[in-house]
This record gives sequence, C-alpha cells and structure tokens, in this order.
Amino acid sequence: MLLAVGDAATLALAVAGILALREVRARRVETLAQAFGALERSIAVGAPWLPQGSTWGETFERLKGAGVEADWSRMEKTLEAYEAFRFGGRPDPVEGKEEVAGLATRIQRGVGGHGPKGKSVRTD
Amino acid sequence: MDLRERVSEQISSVVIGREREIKLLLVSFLAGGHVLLEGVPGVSKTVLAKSFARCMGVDFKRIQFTPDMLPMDMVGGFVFNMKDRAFDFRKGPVFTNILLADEINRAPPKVQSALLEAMQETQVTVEGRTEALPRPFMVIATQNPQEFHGVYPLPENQLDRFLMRIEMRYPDPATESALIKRNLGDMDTGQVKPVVSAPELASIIEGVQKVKVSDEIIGYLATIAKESRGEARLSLGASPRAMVHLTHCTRALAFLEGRDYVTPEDIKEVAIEVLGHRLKLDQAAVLVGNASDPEQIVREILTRVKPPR
Repeated sequence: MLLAVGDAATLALAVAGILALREVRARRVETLAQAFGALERSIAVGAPWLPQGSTWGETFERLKGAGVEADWSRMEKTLEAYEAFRFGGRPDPVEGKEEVAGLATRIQRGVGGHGPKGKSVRTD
Repeated sequence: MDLRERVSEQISSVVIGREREIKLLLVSFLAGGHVLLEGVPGVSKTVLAKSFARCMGVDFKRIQFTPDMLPMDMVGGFVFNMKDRAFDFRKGPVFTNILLADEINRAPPKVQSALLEAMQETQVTVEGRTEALPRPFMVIATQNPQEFHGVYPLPENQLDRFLMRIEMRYPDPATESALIKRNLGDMDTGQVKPVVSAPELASIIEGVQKVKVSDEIIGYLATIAKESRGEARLSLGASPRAMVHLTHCTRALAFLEGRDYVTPEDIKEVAIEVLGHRLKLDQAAVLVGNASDPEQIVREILTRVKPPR
C-alpha cells in the first residue's frame, strides 16, 4: 500500500516537474516573435478547435470567449507591436513577451471553457 | 478627429445606421475604386451616395439610368457649332469626380459598357477622340436586386470593374425608429458639409499608396485566389484584378486605422465585399443545392486558409 502511495507521489512529482520545466522553457523567450511562436505551438495542442484560418485577433477573441484568463487589453497592445514587426518591418519588440509566453503555457496545459459549437476545450 | 470620423459624423446627419457602408465607401474612394450599392428601393442608397460625395468636397454628378438611355447621354458627344461651323465636343456628366450612376441595371448593356472604359482607364473615347476624366474619379452605382422587373443584369466583366459591392439591407427596428423620427422634419443632403480639402485629400491618397504590403500578406492573398479558383462550387473564381483590388482596399483600410502596413485582419474585413460579386456559382452545384451564395463561399475560404501569423 505504502509502495503504491510512494509510486503515485513520485509520478505526480515527475509530472509537475515536467510541466514546470515546460513553463520555464515557454517563459524563457527572448523576443516577442519567439513568444508568438510558442503560442502558435501551444494552440495546436491546447485549442485545436480554433479554425485554421483565424488571425491572431480572432484567436484572442475566441480564447477570451472560451474563458482563458489574461490581461486581454494588454495582449491586444502587444499584438499591435508584434504585427508592426511582422508586417510593418519594425524591430522585434521584447515588451509583452512574458505575457504571451505565459498564455502559451496556460493554453498548452489546457483551458476551461468551451470552444465553438459546444466543443469542449481540453482541461486537466 | 480623423477623416473617417469626420465623414461619418457628417453623413450621420442625414443617413442613420450606415457606419459600415460609410467606411467601405471611404475605403473604396481612397483605394481609387468604384462601388456598386445594391439593395431594394428605399434603403437610402442614393442619399448615402450623394452625402458621401458632398462630404469629400469634390465635383459630383448624378445620372438616372433608364431603358431608353444612350451612351452619349453619359459620355457626351459632338455638337455642331453654327458660329465656328465645326463640331465641338460637349462633355457628358461622366466628367466629374464622383459619378452617381443611379439604378445602373435599368440601362441597356450598351450604356453599361460605355462606363467600362471610364471606370477602368479613367478616360472616354468618342468617335476616335479620347478625353481624360478628372481625378479622383469614382463611380458609385446603385442597383436593385436582379429579381426586379425591367432590369438588365451587369455582365461579369462589368462587375469585375467594381472594387466593391456593398449590400444595403433593411435597418434594424431601433435604427428604423430613429430614421422615421428624423424624417418627420426636413432631411436634406444639402446640410452635409465637405470635411476634407483638396490638398489634404491628395496627401491622404499619397499616404495610402505608401502603406506597406509584406510578402507574407501577398502570399496570403495569392492563396485565397488559388482556393477560389479551385473551389468546385464556383465556375468563376477571383480574377487577378480582384486580388489587386483587394490589396488596394486593404491599404486604404490600414491607413484609415492609422497603420502604415497591412495585416491579415484588413484582408478579412473587406474580402466579402471585394470578392463576393465577382464569383460565379457553378450551376450544377446550385441545382443539387450545394451552393446558393458566393459570399458564404468566400467566408468558408477565409476560415480554412491559414493567414500569416
């Protein structure tokens, strides 16, 4: 019995460790472009119900609608800066990268709420 | 107050609840294109077009299209001058900055075709003499839905010349109530004041032309075009001209939003109005009930084509 409890505790610790490592990795981004890259990958895992043709603006709206927590007004400003870099040839900004990386981590872990047409979003 | 707000404020004094239509008209004007306003009679198509022209402070003329109209009624023609004993060219109403072609689909095809050269090349040719039209030049054509009696549908090549087709639907009940109240008093497009000077307008148009369209955005546009051409429910996809028009619109839209670069959101914002009227449904798909609305197909294409992110 004790052995089983010990095994479960070890497993839980290992899972928590892996998740924490992922989070640290996701947060360790140097630029906003890298942070959005991490967000892109995490959406494929944590919110596959998002339509493929969504822009970042639409993605944010849908995530907000699905109950994902974030400072969305700040995220919108960050997106503006990112798009100025991506499509306007401005330098890659660094401000806001932690929030985007944090969002990526939360999405990868799974988020509460519901996607469109009642599709459940993966939750842990 | 920026240009869009100024235009919206002025037009709202006579037309209520048409903010999106006003924005699209402004985008088209700045993009150097022509607009087809479609809707049933009585939804303020003509008032909107007249108010918009007044707002822009440019020369404006209106032609009411009728079944007995001739091309020379629009472009002008040669008139014998008794004094000089020579033929003089008398300019028609097409020589203006904004031309309101009211109920364009009531005119026979030869008159509609006469507009083609003016719309595409900003010039008209009469009996071998070519006359340039003033710039900017914009045609705002209004038309009733094609199911109405006594209309000549515009051919595909003519439709492709229109930058946008803006569908004007019935107003919602709240807007309608406001509209009825407004019309209890005097409603006159004469109260709409110009909101932009000629030098400012020239500077804005120059600014629009400097808006950057990145290679990723161009790639996205090309993929949308390819998807429309490979769509089984369509017999006619988006033309290269359509994609060029869409690009021009996105630049104007980005400029109005205060940006000097185009984003995928800009494309999505105007794609329905720019592409919808140019696509032709495949009749077999219509007969078996697989397709009924080209605009819905554009929406589906935009949902599945991945934008640059």
